Amino acid sequence: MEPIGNDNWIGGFGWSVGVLLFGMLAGIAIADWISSMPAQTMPQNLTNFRAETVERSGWELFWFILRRNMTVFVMLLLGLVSAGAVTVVVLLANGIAIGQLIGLAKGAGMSNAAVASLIVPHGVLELGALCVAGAVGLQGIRLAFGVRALGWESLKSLRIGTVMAFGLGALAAAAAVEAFVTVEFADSLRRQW
Amino acid sequence: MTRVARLANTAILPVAVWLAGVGLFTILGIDGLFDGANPVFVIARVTAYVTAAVVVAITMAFVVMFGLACGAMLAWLGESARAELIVDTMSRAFWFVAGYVWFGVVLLILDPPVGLTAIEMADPDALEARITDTSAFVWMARLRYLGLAGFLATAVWLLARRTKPVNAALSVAFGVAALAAAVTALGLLAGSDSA
Repeated sequence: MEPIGNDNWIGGFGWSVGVLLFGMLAGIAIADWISSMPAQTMPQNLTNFRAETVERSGWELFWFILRRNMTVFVMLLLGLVSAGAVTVVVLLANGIAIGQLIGLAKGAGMSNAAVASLIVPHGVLELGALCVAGAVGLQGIRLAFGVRALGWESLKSLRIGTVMAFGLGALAAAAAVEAFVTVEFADSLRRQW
Repeated sequence: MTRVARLANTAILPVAVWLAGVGLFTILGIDGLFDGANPVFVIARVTAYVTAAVVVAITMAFVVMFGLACGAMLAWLGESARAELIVDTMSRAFWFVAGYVWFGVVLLILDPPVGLTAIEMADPDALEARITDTSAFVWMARLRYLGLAGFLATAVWLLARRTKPVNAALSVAFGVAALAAAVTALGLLAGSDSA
């Protein structure tokens, strides 16, 4: 099997972005569908229901977010040993979750600018890093088809070490933005409401 | 060899039977517990289906990792660890897991779960109570180690047919240890606390 070249990387990254976007669109559609349901179908104690949240300091939140995102990052890499299946499912699941969040926020009357301000600052780094992991995970499809001709050069060309180092750096930066900037902005939005 | 016999001998069949069982078990379980047009049930169903898909995909990845670890150990012990041997062993050992899952499907059909009411959805203990009241979930939980042990024993038996029995047992033991380490590492990374 030939080593993984730039075309494979770009192709894998493009497919990862595509699957994530498809999931987001599906999530927005589900949220729109839920929002279109009559409000009286929601029981009173649920419409007033507020989930109990754990109060965390900025650093505690940073570590919590970083650990969770690194878990997703590692799970995306499991596509290498599942012919890309784990990567596709995890990207779709995350896309649906983000899409539902956007759709429900919009349904609750939040402006486009407010939703973008809550997501874009950390989302660009976070989702970008996850799509890089997705690009690696999707190479599992090539590996599965070329398993007989798999050699050390092919495995080396995956650059797992570089990808892990990049992922840790990008996700740490994204977690810092989310824990120290986005939370402050979300609090200011909550006070306005 | 007849067409049916050829199909029964293919490596993909046990995995396909397992997948069909898991799919049916998921549909019966989720639609039984979260039955209704209320938005809370829609959200619960979507979340549960997505979670089930992630669990199935990760299970497949873990089985491949287990197979790779077994193959690596066999090669280190001097056996001929061809890809065909590992794929064939892992797939056929899945007959045991498929049987375990289909046992759960039969129990779910005989004793379907009672759906949660919209008011109960706000009570975290209600779902747990429903699960412990449904015989399929209770028996699947009780028999999970039997399912795992059956899978491992079948893997050893299948490997032992083409390698030395001691080497087969050692390779499966190494696979279990490697997988346990990977699962523990992933668990430690994810942590158990919630937002």
